[in-house]
Amino acid sequence: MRYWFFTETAYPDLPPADTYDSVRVTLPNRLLDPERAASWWDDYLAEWQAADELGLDLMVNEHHSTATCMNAAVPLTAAILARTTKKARILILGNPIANRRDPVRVAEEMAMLDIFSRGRLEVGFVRGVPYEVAAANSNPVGMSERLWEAHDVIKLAWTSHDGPVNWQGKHFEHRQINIWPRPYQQPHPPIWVSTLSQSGARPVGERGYVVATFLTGVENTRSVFDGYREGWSSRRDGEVPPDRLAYAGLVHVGETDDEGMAGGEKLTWYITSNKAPSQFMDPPGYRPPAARVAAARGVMATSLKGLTLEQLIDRGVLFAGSAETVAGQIKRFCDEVGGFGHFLVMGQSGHMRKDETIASLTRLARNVRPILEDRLREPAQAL
Amino acid sequence: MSTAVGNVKSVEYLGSPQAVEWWESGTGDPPMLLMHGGNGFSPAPPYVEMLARSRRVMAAQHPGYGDSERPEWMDTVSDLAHFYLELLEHEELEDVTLVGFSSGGWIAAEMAVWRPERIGRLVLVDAVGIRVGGPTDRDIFDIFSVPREERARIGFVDPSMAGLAADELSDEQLARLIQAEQTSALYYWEPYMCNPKLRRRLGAVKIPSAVIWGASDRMVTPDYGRAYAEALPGAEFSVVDGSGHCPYIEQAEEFCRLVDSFVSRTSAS
Repeated sequence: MRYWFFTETAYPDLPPADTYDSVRVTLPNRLLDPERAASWWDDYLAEWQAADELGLDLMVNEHHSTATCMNAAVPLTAAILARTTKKARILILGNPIANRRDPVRVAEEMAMLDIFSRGRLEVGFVRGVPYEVAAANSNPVGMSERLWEAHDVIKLAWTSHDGPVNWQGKHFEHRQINIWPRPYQQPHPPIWVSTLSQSGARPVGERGYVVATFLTGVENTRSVFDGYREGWSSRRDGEVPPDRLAYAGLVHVGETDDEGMAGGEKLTWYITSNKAPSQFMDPPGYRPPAARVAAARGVMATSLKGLTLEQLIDRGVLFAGSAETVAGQIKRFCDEVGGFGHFLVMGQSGHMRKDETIASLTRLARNVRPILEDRLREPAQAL
Repeated sequence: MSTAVGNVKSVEYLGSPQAVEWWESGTGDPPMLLMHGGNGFSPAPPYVEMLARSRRVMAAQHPGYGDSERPEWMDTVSDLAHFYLELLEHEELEDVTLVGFSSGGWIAAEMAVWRPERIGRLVLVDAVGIRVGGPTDRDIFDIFSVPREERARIGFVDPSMAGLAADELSDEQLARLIQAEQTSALYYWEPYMCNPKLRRRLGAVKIPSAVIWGASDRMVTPDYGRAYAEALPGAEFSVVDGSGHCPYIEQAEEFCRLVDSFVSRTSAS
C-alpha cells in the first residue's frame, strides 16, 4: 500500500455560514485576506515537505472559485513540490481536462513537472466536480467525451518524438503538436483518473490506468472498483492488480483514540463547509436526466452532511483514532471493498494547523504503516 | 412510449431518417411555424389555438427536445437553423411566418439570414441571438446561474404562469423539462445565447419582420429588443405591457393581436 498525503488547501477563515449562500462560485474574494492566505500556503507547502521526509507520497489537486481549495493552478503547486521534496512521488489528481481549453498546454505542463522532479510525477485526469462548470465557463454537457478526447491529445503529445503531429478532433484542434520538453518518464508518467461511478470507472479499466475514488464509502467504492474490473477484463486477462485501485479518505491519527477523534472532527470541515446551491451542484447535463428529475422531486443524493463521526467511520469516509485503531479501520475497509493499493490521505482540512497535521502524518508513517504492512500481507488478501 | 405533445414522424434529413416530434392545427395560408425557446414546445397555452383559428400553425420540438431525435453531431444553433431550413423544404412550405420565441427567435433569425426563400416574414419574440453590449455587459440573463424557481421570477411578471414548478408538473413533463434544459445547455452555452456575427448579418435580411417584447422582460430587456429591431431593416418593434419574457403566455390576446395584424399587413392577399 502506498500512502499519498493531500490537503485541499482551504481558506477556512470565513464568516458564519449563514451569511453567504455558497462557498463556491459566488463567494466574494474580498473575504480572503491575502496575508492570511499566504500564511496558510506556508503551512500547506511545509506539510507536503514533511510528508516527503516521512516517506509518504504526495497528492495535489485543483479547484476554482472556492474557499474550500486555494489551489487554482495545480501545476504551480506541483512545481514547488518538485523542488522542495526529494523522494516522494507527486500525484496530480487531477488536471480538470474537460475544462481546460488547450490539452497540449497540459501535456507541456506535465512534461515540465516530470523533468523538474526527475520522473517523480504521476498524472491524474479528472472530469471535475459540477461546481467547476460555472467557474470554468465550461459546457456541462459532454464532459466525459471532452475528457477522453483531451486525454488522447495529451498522450499523443507525450509520445510523439519525430516532429509535429496533427489533431483535428471534435473538441480540440492542434495542427503542430511537438512539445518541448518531453516527459522524463518513458513513454509517459503513470496516468490516474478519478471517478465516483461504476460507469465512469469502466473506461479507466479498459485503459488500465489507476482509478481513484473519493469518500465514497463501502458500497459505492465497491461499485467503482467493479466498474474498473469490468473494463479491465474486457481488454485483458488476469486479475486487477491492487496498484490499479485507489481510495481517498479523511485520516487523523492521534496519540490516543480521543485525540484521533478530535482531529477527525476538525477534518469534517471539508464536509460541513461545502455549501453550494443546486444550480452549481447540478448543472444541466452534468448528471443523467433521471438523476436531475429525482433531485427536482426532492430525492437527495447520499449526503455526508449530518452524519456523526462514528457513522463516517462506519462508512469508511473517516479514519480516526490511535494508530492501532486507524490501522484496524483501514484494514477493515480494505477487506470490505476487496482491496486497493493506494490510500489517498486527506490529512488536513479546515482549521487544522500544521503541527497537528504533521503529528498525525508522523504516526501514520511510523505506527500505522508498519501494522498494515504486516496485516495486509496475510495470504487471503488480494493485496 | 410517447409522452409527445404532437406526433412523432420521420423526416429525411441529410440522407438519414430523423424522428421529429411535430404538432399542427388549423388551416389557411400563410402557414405559421412556431419555434420554441429553451424549455421546449407546449400547445397548452391559449395563444397556440388563438393563432390557429385563422391559419395553419405548426411546431416541432428542436432536435434533442421532447421526442425529437438529435444526431450526435448536432450541437450548434447553425445546425438547428440548417435542420429547419431543410424541414421547410421537406414539408414544401412556402411564405411561412416564422415565429421565434427566445432562443427559437435566434434560430429563426439565422434561417432568414441564410436562406429566406421559403420564409414570408419573421416574428421575433423576446429573442436572443445577438450581442449588443460590451465585454462586461451581460445582455442576456445567465439562466444557468440560478435555480429553476428564480428563472420563473426573472422571466415572468406573474411567476405562477411559468410552468416551471416541479410540484405542478407530471413526471413526464418534468423529465421533458430537464431534458430541454440539458439540450439548451448544449446548444446555447458558449458564446452564451448569441452569435456575435448575427447582428451585422441581420442588415441583409429583406423579408418583413416584427420584433415583439415583454415590457418587463428581465431575461433580455426591451432595450436589447430595440437593438434587434434596429438591426433588421424595416422591422416593427412592439412592447407588450404586463409581460416578462413570454408575452404570448402572460398577455396572449395582445400578443396574438400584434401577430395577426403584422401577418395580414405583410401577406399578399
